[in-house]
Amino acid sequence: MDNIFNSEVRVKILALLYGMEYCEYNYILKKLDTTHGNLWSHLKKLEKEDYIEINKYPLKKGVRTVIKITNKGSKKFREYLNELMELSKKKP
Amino acid sequence: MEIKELMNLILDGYCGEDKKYKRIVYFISNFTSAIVFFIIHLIYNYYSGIVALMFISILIILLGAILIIRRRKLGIDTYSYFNKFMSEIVCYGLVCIVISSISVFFIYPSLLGVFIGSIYGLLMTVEGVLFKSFIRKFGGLLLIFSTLIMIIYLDYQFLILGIVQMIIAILNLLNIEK
Repeated sequence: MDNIFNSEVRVKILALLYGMEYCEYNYILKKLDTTHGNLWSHLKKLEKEDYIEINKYPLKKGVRTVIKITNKGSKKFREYLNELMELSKKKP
Repeated sequence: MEIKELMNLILDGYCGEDKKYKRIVYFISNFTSAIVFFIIHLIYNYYSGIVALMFISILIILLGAILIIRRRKLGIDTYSYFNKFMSEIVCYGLVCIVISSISVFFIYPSLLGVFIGSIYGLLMTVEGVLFKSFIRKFGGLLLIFSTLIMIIYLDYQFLILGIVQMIIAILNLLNIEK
């Protein structure tokens, strides 16, 4: 398995984004109940590996950060999920 | 991490929506629809002729436009696949409302409100099921069951429809769901 999937937070981020076209940063932060710094570092790692896209849009007050899973991210996550399913079936 | 937890997160992603935004938009659209139905009731019962027909047509088109704009505006911050599917379902639902309204209008005009109410109720219930929303499921069922009362009091069908829409609008504003 890819070392991206070694972290529980990264797996959760991909799981959440898998069923979405896109979502806002705060939505993930709220759903995963983690800290801002922790989430941001994992998002940056996923972006570096081309699993997700992070786009920032300026607003009147602050910046809106929108996150989207890439085709590569979707494919890899599907493979990971299939592997996980296979492993769970093999368990006695 | 358990597979079950992972599956729940995937499902959460599929049902993801911007609840705060949706609540406001739903209140506005249901409130406006209720007002439109009250006006239709007045026109239907107290005016007659081509002018009334024209008014009803314009108001129904307006109602459809509100629904389309509502759907387009939804999920700006969080746009899940269910949002995408629902947009398509609503488009087909609107076609169904328009076509069946035309058919019913020529065959049995007094049942127009009953048809609009039941189809609109079905659309709302489907959305409630997809996004696990109690208010939308309840609102949809309320609309569907209110059509039975509409059949008994045919002259007041649009008034009943307006009252039910107003109840749904208030329920959306009350923020019962988390």
